[in-house]
Amino acid sequence: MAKIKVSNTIRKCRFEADEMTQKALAEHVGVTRQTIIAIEGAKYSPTLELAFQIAAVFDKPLGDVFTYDP
Amino acid sequence: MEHEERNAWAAIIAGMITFIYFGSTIWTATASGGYGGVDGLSLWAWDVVWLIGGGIVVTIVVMIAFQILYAIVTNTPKPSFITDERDVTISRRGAQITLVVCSGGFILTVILLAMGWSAIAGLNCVLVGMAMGAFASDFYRIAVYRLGL
Repeated sequence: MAKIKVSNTIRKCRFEADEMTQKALAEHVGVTRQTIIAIEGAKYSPTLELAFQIAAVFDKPLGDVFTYDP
Repeated sequence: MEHEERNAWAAIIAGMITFIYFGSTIWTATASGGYGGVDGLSLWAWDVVWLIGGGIVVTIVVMIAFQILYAIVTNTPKPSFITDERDVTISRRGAQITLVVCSGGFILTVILLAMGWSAIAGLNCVLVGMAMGAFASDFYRIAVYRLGL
């Protein structure tokens, strides 16, 4: 399977946001906790829409939460 | 365990019950020559209709029972029923696997028929290929959910 080239700082953002849990973040953006775990572990690349929703939860621009590593 | 993973486990259980119970009926009839007569194909077809209908009923019952048992065992009165984009992606890949396995079963059937196998045997091969395709898809989905592939 191809290596996922999109990394993220979701875990760091969660801890900065009053130690938000993965479950709470999942409920905020309407996905399962497993999906959040997969995204944090760089095992799944979210769609653009989901990425924007996650960044919006932390009130940060997309580029601060997700990074493309070619 | 999320909703779609529970569905995958339930689908495997339902598939095994259907395959073993209804499949054994067809296998036994084939082995004993029950489909050898003039109406052989028609009899086989009706048994497959029962397999499909029975399989649908078994799947519904098993899925409901699995969800209830899961809620009781994990003490989760309101389990999640969310299907998100990742679940859709995994299901789509599972469907591709089903297609590949089913196609392989069909190609194998054609080869066996060319080698002189009977029509009923060939049709049974197609049936087994479809069952294997469904199992392969469900096992793939569980592997992704459990192992994070």
